[in-house]
Amino acid sequence: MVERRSSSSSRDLVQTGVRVLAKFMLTFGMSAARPTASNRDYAVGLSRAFGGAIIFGLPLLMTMEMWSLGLSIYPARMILFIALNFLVLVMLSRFGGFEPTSTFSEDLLDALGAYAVGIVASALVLCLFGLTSLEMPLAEFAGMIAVQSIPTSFGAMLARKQLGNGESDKTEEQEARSNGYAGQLFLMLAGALFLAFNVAPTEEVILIGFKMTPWHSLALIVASLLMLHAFVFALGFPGQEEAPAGYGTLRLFLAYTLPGYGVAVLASLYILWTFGRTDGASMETIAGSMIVLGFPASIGAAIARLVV
Amino acid sequence: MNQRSSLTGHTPLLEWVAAGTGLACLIFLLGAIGYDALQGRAHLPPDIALTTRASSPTGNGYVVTFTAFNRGGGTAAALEIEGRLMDGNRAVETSTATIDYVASHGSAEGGLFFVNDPRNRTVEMRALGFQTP
Repeated sequence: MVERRSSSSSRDLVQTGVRVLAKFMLTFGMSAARPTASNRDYAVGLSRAFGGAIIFGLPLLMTMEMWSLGLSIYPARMILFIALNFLVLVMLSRFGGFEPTSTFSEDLLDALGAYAVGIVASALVLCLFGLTSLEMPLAEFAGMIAVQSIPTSFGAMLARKQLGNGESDKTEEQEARSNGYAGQLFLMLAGALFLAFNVAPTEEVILIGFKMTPWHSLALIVASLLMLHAFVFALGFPGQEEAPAGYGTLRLFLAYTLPGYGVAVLASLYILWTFGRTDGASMETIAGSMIVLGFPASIGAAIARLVV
Repeated sequence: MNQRSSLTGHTPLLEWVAAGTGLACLIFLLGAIGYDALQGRAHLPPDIALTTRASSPTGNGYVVTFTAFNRGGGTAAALEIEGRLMDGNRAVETSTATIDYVASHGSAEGGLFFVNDPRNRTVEMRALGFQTP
């Protein structure tokens, strides 16, 4: 939204009012940035964000562990994760988001909007599934929605890119932001966090870790690294990396693949800690779980550019 | 990528930090897993050490919490724990608990419920059995 200085102060005031109103509507998931947006645009943007929230959130909305997880196990850790997720949403809005933004406060509002859509979508689906009841303690209900709103808000934020016209309405500035080295690392982190969070609540993650021998773990590290490298640089995906000039294969590996894997396993460790999977575990067990969760996390890191 | 081409001469600091972090993570994982692989402990059976932590009254009895530590190599799944409340040589009451997983060199916590007051008695605990995950 470009602000133009108006000579008349009253017109200025009206403009500001319209902008505030438009921003308020935007917080509820609208995609059009113009104050003159029609009701139809509003409805389309809203449904898009809802669609994204449900598409990205459905696997976890239908995961049993997520219903009871709530804030019950580690409230402080979960609240920290929710705060971090919000930060990631703000940054994602910088790099794409569901509407083009020019200022930081707009990103903040968009992230809030994505959260609002995520929360409403989560509550709606959980109610439809009959998982909520009036006798339920409020804290349990809130915990249930809070955990589910992490993937759904992420989906709402990505809705524009995935369900809208796509790359074309991404501004050059956003393009430049996400092309910088720090931007690349951030996108990898967002992708890793999202995909790892999608599998982490299930018991299967620890069970797989126990099933694997150390040799399986070593093989999985190699496989994760190879996939990460291949996904990002070798395969002809749209939105694939363009290798910076003068970067050989080794340099690319050191500058992108290796940090990408580091980001993936650190994100995995953080998520394992959030879910209390690291408590009372030995270093080898933690390393094993990091490798298991690091596999989806590296794929998430690799495809982040395609999704965001 | 325009800003990148001007930087081909020298490596940006962030790239060093990122590559270093990635390398450190990889070395940690390879080290921890490699050590485990070389020790070959995974074939050894689990060895469970049980310690009682605290006992406290509940609504209709008492609860005794315990920690199960696995000194052995393999992971114990569905670990069955039995606690006998002893009055001298006589068992007053027996309770059992099942723990999902106790990883090798890891610990897990649980609790046993008793109707009788365990505070002036001893609780004898032992692991009954497990399954491999």
